[in-house]
Order: sequence, then structure tokens, then C-alpha cells
Amino acid sequence: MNKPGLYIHIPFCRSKCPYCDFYSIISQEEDIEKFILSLIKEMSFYKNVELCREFGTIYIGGGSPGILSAKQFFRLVENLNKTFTFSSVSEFTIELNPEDVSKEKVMILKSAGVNRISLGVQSFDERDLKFLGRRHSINLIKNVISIIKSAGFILNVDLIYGLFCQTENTWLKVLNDALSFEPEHISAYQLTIKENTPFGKMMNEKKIKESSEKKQADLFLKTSDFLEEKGYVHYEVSNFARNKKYFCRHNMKYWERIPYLGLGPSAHSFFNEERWSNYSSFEKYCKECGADRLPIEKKEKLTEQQAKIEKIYLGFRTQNGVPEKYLNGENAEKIIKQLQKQELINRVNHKIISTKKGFLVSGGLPIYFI
Amino acid sequence: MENIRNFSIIAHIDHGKSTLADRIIQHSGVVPEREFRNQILDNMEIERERGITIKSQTINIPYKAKDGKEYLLNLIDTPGHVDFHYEVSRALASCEGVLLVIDASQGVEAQTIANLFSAMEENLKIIPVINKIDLPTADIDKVKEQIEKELALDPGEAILCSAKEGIGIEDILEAIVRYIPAPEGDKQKPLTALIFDATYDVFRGTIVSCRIFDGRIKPGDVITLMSGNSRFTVEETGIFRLSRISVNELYAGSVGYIIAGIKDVNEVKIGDTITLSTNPASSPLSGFRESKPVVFSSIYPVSSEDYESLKDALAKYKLNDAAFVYQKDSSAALGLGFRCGFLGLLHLEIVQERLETEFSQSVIMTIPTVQYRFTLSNDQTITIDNPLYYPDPSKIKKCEEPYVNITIYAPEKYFGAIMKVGMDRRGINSRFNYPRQGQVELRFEMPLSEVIFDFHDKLKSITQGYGSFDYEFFEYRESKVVKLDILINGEKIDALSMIIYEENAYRRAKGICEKLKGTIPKQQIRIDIQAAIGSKIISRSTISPFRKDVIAKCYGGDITRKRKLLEKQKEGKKKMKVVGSVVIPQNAFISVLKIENE
Repeated sequence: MNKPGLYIHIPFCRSKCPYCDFYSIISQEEDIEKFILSLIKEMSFYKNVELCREFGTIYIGGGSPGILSAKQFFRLVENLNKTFTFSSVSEFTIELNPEDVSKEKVMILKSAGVNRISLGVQSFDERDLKFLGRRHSINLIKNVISIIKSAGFILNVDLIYGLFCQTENTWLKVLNDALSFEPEHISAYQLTIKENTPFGKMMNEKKIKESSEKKQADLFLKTSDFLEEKGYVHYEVSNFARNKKYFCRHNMKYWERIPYLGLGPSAHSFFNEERWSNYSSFEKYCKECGADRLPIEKKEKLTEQQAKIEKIYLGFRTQNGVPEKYLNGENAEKIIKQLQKQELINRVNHKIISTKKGFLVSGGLPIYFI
Repeated sequence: MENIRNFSIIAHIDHGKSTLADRIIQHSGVVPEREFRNQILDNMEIERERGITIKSQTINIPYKAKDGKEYLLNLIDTPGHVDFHYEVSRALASCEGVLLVIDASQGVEAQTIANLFSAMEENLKIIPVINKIDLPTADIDKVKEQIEKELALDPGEAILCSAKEGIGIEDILEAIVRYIPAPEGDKQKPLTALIFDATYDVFRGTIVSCRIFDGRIKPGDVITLMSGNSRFTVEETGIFRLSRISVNELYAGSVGYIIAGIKDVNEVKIGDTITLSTNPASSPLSGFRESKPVVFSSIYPVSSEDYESLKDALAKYKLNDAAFVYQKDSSAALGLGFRCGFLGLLHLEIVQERLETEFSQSVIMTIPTVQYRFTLSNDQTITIDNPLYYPDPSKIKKCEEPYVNITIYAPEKYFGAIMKVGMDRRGINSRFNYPRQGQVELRFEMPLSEVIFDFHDKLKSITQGYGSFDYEFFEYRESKVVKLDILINGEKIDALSMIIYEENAYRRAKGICEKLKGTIPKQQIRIDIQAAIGSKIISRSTISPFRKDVIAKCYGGDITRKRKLLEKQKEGKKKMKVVGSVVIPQNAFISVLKIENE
């Protein structure tokens, strides 16, 4: 289970969603070709590296990986297979937007070994979808989901909530619609408006606003209660699974600090307490690969102290919690008691585990202990 | 001796004292141009930052005057704040004259007058200097009129200058030579030398700055400090240029330094008289007064691991500040620390800032307090300057607190506002007069505790910066005080306890609870702040916790961004103290002092 994960970043989108601050560009066909060549080059750099010979999970994300044609996708997978060993891959995810899904494509993915699809649904409410600048309709979503389900994929439904036009009722209806398809996994992300996005700009111009902290908090807890009631496990701040088997194994590696290799622009990697990330710029990335250089922009070796900070902060984000032994700052015991009293954490088998209320404020918990 | 001139520069704050000093030094050429730093005399970081002089520096300037003779000018710099009133008076006592600097557009102001009085007390020759004449707003005629009518000085003697532009510097130097009398004194009489400053040098020990009034002193002499009869052998005598320059002897009329194997700067008292052990003067110079701390506060390291390092820093700091006293202290909330005594609130702030900037210490200072005198039921009298040792209230028969005579100068139109503040602050027996047109001088007898509580800021705010004040200890008077405790989530923060006049307790408690609510950042847990007298809660406030504080997604394995943020917060936490389960910023401890008193 502890084999490293492989992440591949496909940096292209058909259009830019106004809330998204991940790296992507609107692609031309020749860009995609150029990119695949660079990616194949980047893989080759890692070909004989012992640490990343064999992977336990693969995750193709973006951007919009669905933008790749069947041919391009096959070339990618073919080269992956030539470079790395995938005999013990237990989870192979690809992110898709509903408009990129067709029966044929799904069959191709299946035959290439993909077993999990993370579908960028975002909402089942027309008004929400329009606000979020999504291109798909509710009918399309329903159609697409049934294709995916009948092909036997594990399905993750990606949802966004906390839009200021949303009420508790409209959001619960979205959740209900999602549940009607019995997805194995639901990622429910609360909308965060980031400075460098169109939404950020609109917020500065006071055209839109963020929901109040209280409303966001209430919705978060409501979501958790609702999904738990329907049998889902709230195993990470924004992630729910029908049972333990369907936890996203790849993402768990990020949270449990299991090594992973990231390929493609802006991808992050982690091995041996060393973190590095690739150039975010598509041009720069291709240029480096073309010049036979690793497209790495930043690299750092973590100190013990930094590793500890990560363990604490990641631990508070998941159901795994933080081993007590890491929580030894000044007054740690008093603070733990106080946080327990406020129902933010539980103490189980020498681990301190966030409650759902704790998840909600988990960003501020580490500072007490570091 | 007839070629020596000893002088100081005095001015209202910001009227350009330091710049003028720079220009005078620069003009003399004692400092090579390329080594010249602006405000050369203010060599402490904090002085440069605040533009005020805290520790005096002295410099000897050779000057060839227009009469063809070579003169030696001793510029004795004076500290510029009310806390250092006594140090100023000793520096002035070492001079024969002063340059009274007046801003050409601001005109005569509160401290101009206060400084003038100080100089007059020492019978000094006063040369008015009108500075900043280059400014478009300069009104020289008006200032001259003020000099004549309000200061009763000869406007004809006033020198026009722009220190910034280097205009009029030569005229000033000539005026110093011409108008300031040469020092008098008798080289044959027994030695009397006035100590006006003492600093510590790691290699040489204490460097004593002094003005020789009578007699002479040279290496090898055995000297006595007359207030304590301690004896030392002189190792070196010298004068101040940019660095120390040793000379064979110092004699009557001159200003210089003495190194005499004095290990501890605290053995030297400002205002004390040095004489020769073999041929002592019959009496010391007048005006000696031992400076005693009047304001007390505790200093704790933010992180308890840094106690030893703070201890070292204080010991080193103390070497250069004889007025500062400290001893060990400990608090349940803050751990081990030090109880410290200061000359006043500014002195306290200076110590705090210097510990932070020069010694890299992160410290928490507790609420300053004065020294209270309690008579207990068994008729024993105790003095308390630390709320930790507040006596059992049931055993207190009588309490007394120190009163000061406070003098406030301000433009007349603020009379009513000042009167009101004075009365709010328990000022009594007010007297007032108009030292000059448009200007009022008010005097009160006021508890010192009211003066150290934000009085300076308050006065500045009600007089739009024009008011200034000075105070002097007067006497102990009976009072009724209580101990006010602050509890955070039920835990008493002893470092926030204070002794307070009973009638002020409710109002202050409310202010503190509100202030802390504003200073302690929102956290993951609810924070209850309470103020109590004994077991009775008299005020409270609540900081509600974060409802949401998490990023929804750490995407694609980007763990670094959030970790970096946490590392930054961790750095910030060095300025915080974790008390119980609450993170309290360092400034919360001092913020409770800055409360509007309404």
C-alpha cells in the first residue's frame, strides 16, 4: 500500500473557470503535441531511478485531462508503461469534465487500466453552474454519470458549495441529486475566492461576495451530518467515501506523506523528505525538457522541524489524526484539554483526531503545537 | 582656560537640535567627511529612530575664531525627555552657556520655555538660534518678537540659521566664542569635578564624563567619589573627539573623561563630585541627588527557554544605565523573569526597545506600577511595587501612594481640556499662570500612578501635540487602592494584575477587558476575559472562536504553501505567549496601559 503515487498534470482547459487558481492554459492542438513530447521526455529522466520504479496509484489531473484525444491518451499510457512498473497499481484515477465524456472514451480509459473517474460536476443546480461558468447542463451530467457507472468505474463526484447565492436548501438538494447516483466518493469543496482569479477580481469590484464565515461553517457541518447520515465517511476536510475501501488512495499519500512523483507543469513531488515542484509555465516546462533538463523550479530538503509541522497540519486534516508524540509544545496538554472541551478534537489511542467541527478550523490548530 | 567654551544645545523636540550639532561638528572638521553620519551624537539606534537624545554624548571641537585665536569648544549633549530631567540638569550645570534653538516656522513652544528655565536655573548665557530659516513658512520677525516678549532675551543676539542647509553655522561658532563666558575656576584649588555621565567600555570599564571646576587631575591620582567615599586610581584622562583621545591632565574649566578602573558603572552616580583623596575639597559641588526608580514593571522572556539569555542581556544593559535597577521575579503565568525599576515610562520603553533591538530579546513587560506604602493591622509598614506581593486586604490599615508636582505647559486654548484631564487624574491644588501670551502653565499635585498611566499620550492628544509636562516627586499621601486581577478562561494571569485606585477600578476593568478583546487574536477556542477584585468579577468580555479556518483543498500534493504559512505563523508566535490554552500577543500586556480614560 505504501508504494509511491504518480501524478500527471495536464495543463489544458477549454475555458478558464472563474474560481480556479490551478495552473492551466487554453490549448491549441500543437500545444498538446508539444506537451506530450515534453512529458515523455520528463518520464525518461526518472526511468532508472530506483525510488520511483514502481507505483501504487496513478492520478491524471489538471487542467482538463479529458481534452486529450484517444490517440494522445494512449501514447501517454504506452510511454508510462514503458518507463515505469504498474503491476501493483490499485487505483488509477483520471479527472474528467462532463463535456469530455463519451461512451467510446470511457471504454478506451477502461482498457488502459483507469478504474476511477473524478467527475467535475460542481453542482446539479442550473443557476450554480452558470455562476461557476461551467459548460455542461444537468441532463448531460446525468447521462455521463450513467455511462461511467455502467462501465464499472469508481466514481467521484466533485462538488463546490458555499456560493453566496446558495441556500442550505438548494445545496442539500444538490447533494441529494448527487446521492441518487450512489457515487463511491464525493469531494465537496467550499468555494474559496482567490485573489488571482476572475472571481477574486469581481470580489474586489464588489460584484460578488463570499458567504459569511458563519454561513460557511453551518453549511460545512450540515454537509458532513447529511452525508454521514447517508452512510458516507467524512475522512478528510473536503472528502467523503462510501466506505474505507473507496478513500482516494492517491490523495491519501499526500496527507500521509507517502512519496509521490509529479510530472507535468506545476506538479509537485515528494521523496525522502525532499519536496520539489516543476515550473508552472507551460513554455518554460517544455523548454527545459527539450533541453534535456529536469523542469524543476524549486527543491527543498525538509528539516525535522518542517517535517513535524507537516505531520501535524496534515494529520489534523484527516481522520487519521496526529500522534500525541508530535504535540509537545508549551502547554500542549492544557491546550489539548481545552480543544477537547470545545469539541474540536478527540483523543483516541494516543492520537489526537479532529472532530468535524475541528476539520472546520483545522488550519489554525497546528500553531498551538509548533 | 580663557580659550575654552562649554555649551549645550537645547530645543523643543523636532526644532533641529541634532542636525545643528551635526553641522557644528562637521564644520570643525574633526570628523572626516566620509565618516560623517547624520546625527552623529545620537549613536544609539533607538535615538536615531525616535529622533530624541537619550544618553548624552560629549564632543570637543577645536575652532579657530575670527579673532585669530584657537578655541576648544565642548559641546555637551543633553537627553531630551522628562524622565531624564535630572541628567539634563547635570549636563547643563557643566556648561557656561546654551544655544536655545527655535524653529523659524513653529516659533517658541512648551519645551523651549521649559528648557530656558532649566538653563536659567544654572545661570547660563543663552544664545537664541532661529533654525530652519530656509523653510517657506519661516517667519523670522515673529520669532524675534517672541524672543523679546516671551523669552525676555535680546533678539539682536539671535542667530539665523538653517542647520539642514549649513547656513549660519559660522555665526553660531563666533557667537559661542564671543558671548558664552570662558569657564572660571582655580587650577590651584583642591579638585572638584562634576560627573554628568558614565558609560561602560568592555575593555576599560567605566568611562566617567565630567566637568572640572577647580584643580587638576592626571593619571596616577587617587580620587574619591564624594557621595560614597569610594576610592580609585586614575588610569587615563582625556577628551572626547569622535573617539576618546587621552591627554596628560584635565584642569579647571575643561570637560573630558576619566578612566579609573571602575568596573561597574553603577558605582558612579550622575551629579556626584570627584575630588583627590590626598587633597580633598572641603565640600562637594551642589545639586547632587541620587536618582531613584519610581516606576516598576516585570520583564519576562516570551519563551521561557530564553530566561538565561535575558539575564545576560540585562546584566550587559545595566552596565550602561545606572538608573535602571532589576532583581529576579517569577510569575505563575509567565515563569521566571525580572522585576525592574525605571525613572519613568519613557525610560521603561527605552529599556524594552533596546533589549529587543540591540540584544535581540523577545520580552513581555507587565503593567507598570508605582511604589505603594501599606500600614498593616500590626502597625508594620511595608512598601510594595509588585502586585504579586499585594498584602491580604483584611490586614491593611492604611495605604499611601506617591504624589508628584506636575507642571503642564500648553497653548492657552487647551486650558479647559487640561484642567479636566488633571481633575480626572485626581489632580488637586491646581495653580496656573501665563508665562507668556497665549501660553498657560498649570500645576497640579497628582498621584504618580495617574501620570504613568497613559498621561503623556492623553495630554498630547488633547493638546494636538502642543502640550508638554514635567513632574517631580512630592510626598506620600493616603489613598484607597485595590488589586485588580485579570482572568483568561478562568485562569488568573498574574502578570496582568495591577494595584489601582479603588474608584477607578470599574472603569479601568472595563477598559482592560475591551482592550484585551481587541488585542488578543481570534483563536480556535472561545476566550473569556474577566476582571476581578478578590473573588468578585467586575467586568468581562468574550472573543468568539473562528467558525471556519481551513483551506478546502491541498491540490496535487502541494503541501509546501500551507507549511510555509505555518512557518511564518510560528515565527510570529515568538512574539506571543501561550498562557493556559490561549495565545496572547506580547503587546497585549502593555496595551492595557493605552486605554482611553473615558
